[in-house]
Amino acid sequence: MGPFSRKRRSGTILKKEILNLIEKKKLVVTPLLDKNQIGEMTMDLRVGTDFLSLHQGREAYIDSTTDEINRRPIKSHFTETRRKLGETFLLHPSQTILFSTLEYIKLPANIFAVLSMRSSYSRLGLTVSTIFQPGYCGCFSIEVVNTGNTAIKIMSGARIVQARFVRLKNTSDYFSSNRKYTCQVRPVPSKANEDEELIKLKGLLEN
Amino acid sequence: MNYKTIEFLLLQLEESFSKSRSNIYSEVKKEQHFRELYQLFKSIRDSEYRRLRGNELYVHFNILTYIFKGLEYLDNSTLNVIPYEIVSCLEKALSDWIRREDFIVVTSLSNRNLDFYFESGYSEEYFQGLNKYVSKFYGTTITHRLIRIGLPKVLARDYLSCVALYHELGHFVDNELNISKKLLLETYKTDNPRKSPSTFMYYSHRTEYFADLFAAQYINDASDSFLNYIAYDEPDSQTHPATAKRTKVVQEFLSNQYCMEKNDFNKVLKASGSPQLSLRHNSIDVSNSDFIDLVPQNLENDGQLHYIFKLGWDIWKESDDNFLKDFKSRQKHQIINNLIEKSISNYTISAQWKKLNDGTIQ
Repeated sequence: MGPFSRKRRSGTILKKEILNLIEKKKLVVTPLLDKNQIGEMTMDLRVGTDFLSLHQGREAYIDSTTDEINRRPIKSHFTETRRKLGETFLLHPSQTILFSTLEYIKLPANIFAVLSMRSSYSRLGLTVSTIFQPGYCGCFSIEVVNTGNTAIKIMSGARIVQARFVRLKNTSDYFSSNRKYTCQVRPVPSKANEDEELIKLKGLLEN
Repeated sequence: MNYKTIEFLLLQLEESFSKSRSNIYSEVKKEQHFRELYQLFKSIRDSEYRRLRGNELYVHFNILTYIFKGLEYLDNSTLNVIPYEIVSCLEKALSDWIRREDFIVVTSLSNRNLDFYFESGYSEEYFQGLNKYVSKFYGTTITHRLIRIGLPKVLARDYLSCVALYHELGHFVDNELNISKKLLLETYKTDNPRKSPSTFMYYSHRTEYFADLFAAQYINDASDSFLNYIAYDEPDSQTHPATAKRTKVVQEFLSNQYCMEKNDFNKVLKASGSPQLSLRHNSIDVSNSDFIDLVPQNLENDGQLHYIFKLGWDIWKESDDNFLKDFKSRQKHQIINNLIEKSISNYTISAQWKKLNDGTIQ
């Protein structure tokens, strides 16, 4: 590094830099309906229009170990439903739902995002825990659980989660390995059963 | 036919309404249409239909069939199933041609592959007649007409295939404005396409050319790209011109060359005070598009909104050599579809948000 180059520090990036990255199109957030979504060190993200809710069907369990054609796919355990902005969705106690953020996001190769509930919603008993890797592009697919014992109504378009952007010292290549969730715009059920390694693991038993 | 036929239909409708009553549409017009259909059904059910005779029986048979059809389309147009991104594009195109407020675009999802169609049958004349009758005998009316579009269930989110719907919308507009019928009248001095095999063929081919040109106004040659997948090198038939002829007409129109078909249609359109066939899209250069960065296209106007389908097709056709080349085939298709969907929804949501903040919607 030369004497005049400025070394960018790793760690959480702040409002000024978030705005700067957006302006330079290094960080893409679209649509950004209101610039006030960007706080001092986080950005509020909105509930999108598509939801997947986990239901109990005729299968006693979700089989995450196989992707064979004669087995029910994981997505059959979810019910897909849509809302328009301003409409509501009811989260029942202990229910897991997946939704996409309204915002489509593309992260730079050296920044990852950590998602958490906005405190107004965590106080209702909603939890979320997700990290998105540097270079990710797509709407964030978010798993929310209502851990309380009361149903909670949420509104499509509401700012429910917040993203903290964290810079790494080095860049990483998001597409260096096969990505299952590229450019997703609707919530996608788990693809745990598509892990290629599962076949290798089964091979251990056969040999 | 006797009153038992009517009773039979009423019982079937009762069952149908019991299933449809829980539908959620997210569109006031559809809710209203559902309530009006139910009110009409209820009025007939509670009337003395056992005393109906002769022509009255046929009229009631047709009214109840009309209600059935309406319910079928409403059932497939709830927010959960209607592909509203594509429908929002079609509605914008539609408003260039007719008063959109009078209509509701509804969809029916078919189990048959490549089953894109526009279902005609209930013309303005029929609709007026129906309302006159039910208003007189049952004191109720239906406010909106339905534009009934069918598409395959499995392809409802396949935006590359959904370009066929622009063509189908063209058929609807043609039917409404009687463009091909007027050309038939001019050429064969009859407005009955079934008068002879040659009138039928002439009329059918006009309708296809009109629908092709209608689509090309908005989505350039994207509809042709799809046509070449499903009807590659098809020769002339009674109902459709040869694929090569259709492609040629669209190319002439797009490149602003002499295009006899366009000129013929425009002459009729002008005479009836309707808009002319013209280019209604704004191109987006693939090399400068946002898709290359794997993000949705930032659309600036309705012209670009329609063009997004053409952009998608151009990228798909070159996807073995362009920025998508390292993705698996299935992923390429998904990525293009996802980016098209999000580009459309971003455009419509941002416009609504802007209107809300401008105070133009309450």
